[in-house]
This record gives sequence, C-alpha cells and structure tokens, in this order.
Amino acid sequence: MTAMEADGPVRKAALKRILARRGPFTDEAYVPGPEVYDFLSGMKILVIGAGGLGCEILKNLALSGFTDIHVIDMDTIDISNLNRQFLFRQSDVGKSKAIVAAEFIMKRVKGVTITPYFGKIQDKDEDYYSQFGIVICGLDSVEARRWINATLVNMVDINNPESLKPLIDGGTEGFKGQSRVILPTITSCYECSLEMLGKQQTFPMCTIANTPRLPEHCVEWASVLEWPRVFKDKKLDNDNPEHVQWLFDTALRRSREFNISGVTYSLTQGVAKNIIPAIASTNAIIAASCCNEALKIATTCSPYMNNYMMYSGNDSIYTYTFEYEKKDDCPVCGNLASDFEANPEWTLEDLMERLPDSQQVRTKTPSLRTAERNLYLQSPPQLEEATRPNLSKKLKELVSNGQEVSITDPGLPFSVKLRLLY
Amino acid sequence: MIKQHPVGHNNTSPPITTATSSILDDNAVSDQPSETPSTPLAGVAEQFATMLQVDAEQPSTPHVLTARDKKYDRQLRLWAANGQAALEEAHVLLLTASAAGAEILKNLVLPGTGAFTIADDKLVTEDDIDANFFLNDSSLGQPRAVKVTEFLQELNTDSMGHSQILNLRELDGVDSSYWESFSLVIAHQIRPSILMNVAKVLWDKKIPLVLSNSIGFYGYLRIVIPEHTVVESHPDSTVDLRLDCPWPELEHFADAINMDALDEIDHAHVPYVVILLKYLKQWKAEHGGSPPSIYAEKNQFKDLIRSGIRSSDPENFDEAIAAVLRATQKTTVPITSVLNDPRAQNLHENSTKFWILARAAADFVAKEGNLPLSGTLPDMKADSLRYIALQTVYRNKAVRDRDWVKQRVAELLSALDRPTDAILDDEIETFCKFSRYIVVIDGRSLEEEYNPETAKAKLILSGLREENGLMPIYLGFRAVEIFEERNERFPGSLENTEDDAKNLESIALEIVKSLGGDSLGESASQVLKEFVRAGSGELHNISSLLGGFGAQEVVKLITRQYVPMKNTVVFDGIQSKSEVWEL
Repeated sequence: MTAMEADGPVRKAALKRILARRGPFTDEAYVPGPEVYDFLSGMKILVIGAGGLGCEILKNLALSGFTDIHVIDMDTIDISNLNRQFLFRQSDVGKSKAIVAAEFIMKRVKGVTITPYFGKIQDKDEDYYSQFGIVICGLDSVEARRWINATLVNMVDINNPESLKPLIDGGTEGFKGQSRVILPTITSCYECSLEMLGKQQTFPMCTIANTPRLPEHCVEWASVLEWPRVFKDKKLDNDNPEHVQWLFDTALRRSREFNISGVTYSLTQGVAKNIIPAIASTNAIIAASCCNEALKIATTCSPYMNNYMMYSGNDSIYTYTFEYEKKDDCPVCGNLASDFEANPEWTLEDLMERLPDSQQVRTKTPSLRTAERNLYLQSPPQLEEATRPNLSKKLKELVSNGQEVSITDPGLPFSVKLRLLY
Repeated sequence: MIKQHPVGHNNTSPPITTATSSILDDNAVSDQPSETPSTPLAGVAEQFATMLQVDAEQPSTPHVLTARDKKYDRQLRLWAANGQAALEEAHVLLLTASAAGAEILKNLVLPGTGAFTIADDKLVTEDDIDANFFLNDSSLGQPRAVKVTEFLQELNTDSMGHSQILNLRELDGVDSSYWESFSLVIAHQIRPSILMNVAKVLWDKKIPLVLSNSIGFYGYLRIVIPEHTVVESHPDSTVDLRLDCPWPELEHFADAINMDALDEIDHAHVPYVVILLKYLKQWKAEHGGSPPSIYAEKNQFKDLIRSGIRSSDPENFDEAIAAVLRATQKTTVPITSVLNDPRAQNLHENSTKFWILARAAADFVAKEGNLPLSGTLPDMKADSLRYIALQTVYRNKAVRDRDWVKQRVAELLSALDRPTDAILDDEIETFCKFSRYIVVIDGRSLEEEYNPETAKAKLILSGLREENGLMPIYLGFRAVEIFEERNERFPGSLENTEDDAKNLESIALEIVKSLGGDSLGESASQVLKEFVRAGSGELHNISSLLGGFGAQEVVKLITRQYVPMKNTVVFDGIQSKSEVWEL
C-alpha cells in the first residue's frame, strides 16, 4: 500500500486530511500527521455481532481506516435478515453470519483483513479480548452485553493502561435506538444503566391460565402451557414453521373460546419468538454513530461522546446526548450492594419469582446465598435438592432485615448483591 | 410456579391432540366446539351476550408465508402491508452518486422500494471508491451513476435500478415533465443556485425533494415539500376512554355491575374503567354534578376509590387510582386547526382524500362534540368475560361513529362528483381510529428559506448565539455553498488553509448580515474552521448516518406513516448531537 501511495494517487485522502490537521475542537495534546493514520490502520478492533448493526459496523470501520477487524457471531443467516443485513443474499441463508460478512467486506474493500469467529463470545477468554484496542457491540441480547461488559470491566488492571478496552455499544428497536461509549471502571458501564431498559413484556401466569383478555395472552397460553402439556418431551422450536402453526391453531381456538379477536399468524410468531421490528435506516444511524466514536477514540482527532446518545425517529428526528452517571452500587463496576424492598412474609420462591422482572437483577435461573448459608442453588442436583425446601420458607426465617443476598446465574460472569430491606 | 386461580377455566379447553399425533396431521386441527366457560360472572356477561360476537374467522388452514412476507417481516411490523405497498409503488431519483446518496438508496432498496434511478455524469475517482461502499477498485474511471446502480441492484431484486448520465450543472435544461416519473427526488451536494429552479418545479408538482450534504464530521438534511398529511402517525397509544362523558351504553354497562353483590374474587376483577365510572357518578351526585377538578379534589377522589378496596389484591383499584388524572380530564378535540382549515371546509374537485376525511370528521365533531371514538381499550386487570364485554361496548361505539363518517364521506364525494367508493372503507376506518393524532405539515420552499426577506432570520440568529447549539453548522453549510460557487472548489481543499478560513468567515458574515445580524459569534467561527479542516472530504460514518436519516424520512414521506421532521436536521459528529429546525 505504501508503494502504491508513493507512485500513485493518495488513498483515503479525505480521512488523512482530517487527521493531518488540528481542528478547533481537537484536544491540545493531539499531534496531527501520517502517524495517526498508521496507528489507526494498525489497531485491532473487535466487532461483536454480524447482524443488522454488525453489517453496518463492519462496512463503516473498513471505510474509516481500520484494517485489522475481528468479528464474532454465533448466528446463521435467516431470510428475515435480508431486509437490512446487506452483506447477505438469498443464497447465503443458513451460513455463518460472521464468515459471510467477513468475506464480503474483504472482497469489496481493498487492504482490509477481517477475521471471523463463528461461535459464542463466552468461548473466548481474557487473553483473547486483551489483544484489541476497542470493542464494538451490535447485539440484540441483553445477556451477551452484560457478559462482555463485565468481562471488560474485570480485565482492567490499574497498573496497566493497555488493559482498559473502550466498549462502544449500539442497540435498535424499530425507529428507536441508542449508542454509547463505555470506558470500563471510568464511565458508567452497561450494568449501571440496566434500569434504562424498557420493562420486558411479561404476562402474569394467572392471566394466561385463567383470565386471558388479549390475543397475546392466548399465544402465551399455547406456547407456555399447552405445548409442554401436549408434547411432553418435545422442545418447542419457534423457528420451526410446523410448531408455530400449531401454536397459531391452539391460540386461535383459545381466543374463540373467550371471544378474543386479533390472533393472527404474524402475531403468534411475533409473541412466541419475541420479535423486535428492525429496519435498515435505524441500524445505519446507530452503527454510524458507534463507528464515528470508534474513529475519534482510536485517533483522538476530535472529542468522543460522553457518553450516551438516545435516538428516536417515529416523530421527527430526535437525539438526546447526555452523561449517564456511574453507580456506586453497580454490581459490576461499583462496590456496594443495592437495596431491594421485600416483604418478610414472602417465601423464598415469591422473591425468586420477582427477580426476572427486577430492574437490578433480571436473571432467569438465579442461585441465592447469604454470607452464612446457601438459600437456593440451581445446580449441582444434590445441592438443588438440599436447598429446595427453603423455597417454601418465609424470608424472615432465612434472611434478616438489611442482610446481603448474593445472586449468581450461569449467564452472568458476576454476582448481584442485594440488601433486603423489610 | 403457576398460581392457582379460583375463577379458573383450566379444564375447559378441549383436548386438542395427543402427544403421539403429528402436528401436521390435518385431524390435529380439531373443530370441536368450545365449551362455554361458567363463572359467577356469566350472569353479567349474559346481558351483553349479543355484543359478544367476534368476527367470523374461518378455521385456520396451514398458513403459507410467502418469501416476501418472510423477507420483509421485521419492517411489516412497523408499516404493515399498506405502507409496504406504497413503498413498492415508489420510484426514487438520486441526483449525485455520492457515498451519502448511495447510503440513502441502500436503506431504500433493502426494504423493497419499487424503483430507483441515479443521475450523474462524473467518472469514478479514488476518492469516490474510498468513501462509497457501492464502488470498488474495478469501478475506477467508469460512469459513477452506472457503477453505483449496479452495486445497489445486487442488494434486492425487488427493486429496479436505473442509471442516467445527466449533467447536474444543467438541470434547468431538463424538461419539466422529466420529474413526473418520480415519486421523490434526493439531491446531494448540489449548488442551491442550480437547484433553486428544479426545487420550484418539484414544489409546483408536489414532488418531495430531499437535500443532503456531508462534510467532515457534519451532516445536513432538508425536506422540501409544500404539504404532507399523515393519518397513521403511530402515536404510542390510541386509548380514548371518554370517562368524563360516557355514552348511554357505557353508563348502562357500569350500572349493571353491582359491586356490593360481588364476592371478593369478582370484586378484584372489575375492570378499572367500571370502577372509575361508578365513583365518578357518585362524586358528581355529591358535588352538584361536577367532577373532581382541583388537585385537592382529585386526591379526595382517589381516597374515595381507595375506600372501596376489599381484596388483598387490589390491582384493579390501583389501576383506577393511577388513571384518575386522565379520567377527570375533559375529552377534547386536539386537532381543531386541521378541522377548521379552509382545505377541509372548502372542498373542491382536486381535494385530496385526507381533506375530505378531515371535513367529514369536522362535521362529526359539529354534531357530537367529539371526534369518532378509536375503540381501543387498554389491557387491565379483569376477568375475560367482562373485559371482552367492555371492549365490545367501546368497539360498537367506534363502529357507529365510523358508519356515520362513512355516510358523510359518501355524501361529500357525491357532491364533488366523485364515485362514493373513491375512499375505501379501510381508509375511513383507519382515519377514524387515528383521528386525534392526524398531522398536517405545511412546508417551506427553498426559495423562502434562502431569500432574506422570508428567511427565519430570528430563529437563525438566536440559534447562532446558543451555547453548544448546532445552528453554526447550518450557517457553515450555507457559507460553503457560496464559497464553492465562487471558487469552483471547496474551502480547505488546498495545502494552505488560512486564506480559505478568512474567506469562508466573511461569506458567513455576509449571510448573517443579510438576515439582520451583525456578528458571527465565537461558536460559529470555530465551526467554520472545522469545515475548512475537512475540505470537501466526506467521512463515511457521517454519510452513512445521513443515509439512515435520509432513508427514514423518505420512507415516512412515501408510506405517509410516522411523522417526518420539519424541515432541516443537522448532525454534529463531534458533539454526537442533532438538531431540527423549521427553516
């Protein structure tokens, strides 16, 4: 590439020009020049997710001077991805997103290397993550974000500045989205802002079982209650059209029984798979914002975002950029337990039923313990059996007012500490 | 962990199929009649039995999703089949095959916009390839319009791509009928002096024009359209309960439920709408017919409701208390300016469907004092029977209101000598459902914006003085346009930038003075330096972001769903902020 530049036209001229000049808002310590570009093109950057945001992110980085890009995605390509995931074609359906995306970009953009990994982020260890200068996430999973966030926070070694990996996170839903910059241990982290997530749409079990009112209640009845009852050992696969058809038929019958209108195939699919609407334009906006921050962080050619931008496009174009503050009681980057109001008359099971919806916890399979004893452990089986009797005991018999309960979940690489207040 | 519920219908569902039968077995789809659930509330519901007739849906047959349904599923959940149909009928023209232009088109081709045309006469350079994903090294030296069209076409065979070699500096010479084949025109970084006449032609033909520009960390987008109307604005909620003015059937429904006679479980399942109606009636009777109005009264009213709680699970009463503020608000007609608009009041042969519908709604309001009811009932703690019965009361009223509007629309159409089915029933239903949230945007022309006599001078000048505001970026784009026109190059494109910086600053000052201002301000002069730093350089991230903004607004304009911005947006990639103004 250097040889070509010497003889031929200068490539990436527009980017190089900006990097070669100090701007009015550039930090005083910035030293403009060709070294900045070389540093940028030598930096290893990791992209997590090769879906709607990931395709955009890979394209943007490749056209922003990054040349050593890695990408992780465990998913394969589905036909419903094609309305926005522009690196994939009909003939790619069923193949690895990470591999197809990497090949496409390398074919299109000269001088860029993309190293794909078709698998889970949890397959990789700290050694792997420590090779990157920046990590960008374009994920639709809260659990995966919590995992990578906690992993990067844990990796910070105060004596080694290199161990701090900026994490840039994007997310979209329909016409809305957000992008943010996380400097682990310095700014607020993903876990600090967990309460920003909208409340998950969950329906009380007694409504589903006894008093359905909405078409959604009928679909939940079909998938949560009827499927396991009818097909005892067969796992429901929401991607299997035969299974979805069965859910639709069953939900429709349920709805007629209760005179509820509005059960359609599309609604059944949406509720059963928890489908989130997604369009190309919102992904483009959020991914571009993430990559713009990556470029600024990698080069320091302009100040980067501090630290959160919310975006909404339903009504006009609206962004709100603000500093999300770090929390002392953040289970990942803080050191205090957070308060949780409980009723001493609740059973341990009552408490556990509230955890999946609790803003601080949000875990599906929690194990609980205090400093003195195991309250309930999901595994191994012998300990599960030993702690099971506690489920029906009242909280006041197990935990004293103000005592800390530590909650772990196989999906999370950290524990959440709650101080129970009666 | 399922809680047992005493009012259960657990055992009422017929056995559907056995674990051994294949779920594809046709027999598995049982047609057994469902049993009538029997609960203590059945008596209440019987009174409304005639209402409880759900649309006669046919038994389901295996659902066949087309490849198209599957491919577009995630967007159909936002703009539905009618929005998609509008998109598939559209033909979008892009003037200038730039990176930002290609990114806008990318986000329109992917969701299946019917056709696009790219017009440009430049040949592909290295700079183009570096910034534009829809070119590669093999494109060098070839016509830009042709190559970008080819690469975009690969994204979606449902979208038909065309390219035209057109000299964008001579757009004035294009026959005005040329524009009529397009539903919308996008123009990237074209001088206003060239664009002004085209903009006028498009304005007169009511064809939306979207302008974009991308320089360094700054992005700009402007929508030019004389009038845009939206029925499906997709508000967060269309709930309209009318608790302050219940119609007879709703009152009757509430009266028929005798709370005192209910056992604890039924009492805890009375829908909060009924609770509110009952206590409001009681309150009014005790307060000379007026509802709680001042803050203290509303608190007293909440206490009154609270006093009725009997069960240990008072979720329905909690919902009622939480809804007191909304329930005691008078139901208003929020869109009177639209209903009184001369375009609704003085219909003529060219009136659009929207204004005919608006006129029918205005006539409905004149008769009833309120807009047609949306008929939407939010979910609330209730047993199925009473919830559905109550929902039916709301829906029946919505149907009656809608039928009146349909009748009126037919009369209006006849008076205009148009067929009475020129507006479909579906369209009338949608209009009635969203009538509280309809939107009319009266745009401003490019001419009005650029002429100092009609420009929004006050808005611009005060914006320039705002701390960290983005108006300086708007001024910067305007100044760069003039600089480029005078010098045939962009500021900052030479090695020495100082002269350009001074020159650009004096141009910006000319603009400010023409608007009645006297100085630039510190923030504006810094932003101008940032423009000079970039030269004409396009940063891909900013162009890609504009591609998102632009496509999103185009989709809104074409589908007539959601609300477009009025009318200019600027993105600042340094502060990571955007701002919208009506200029």
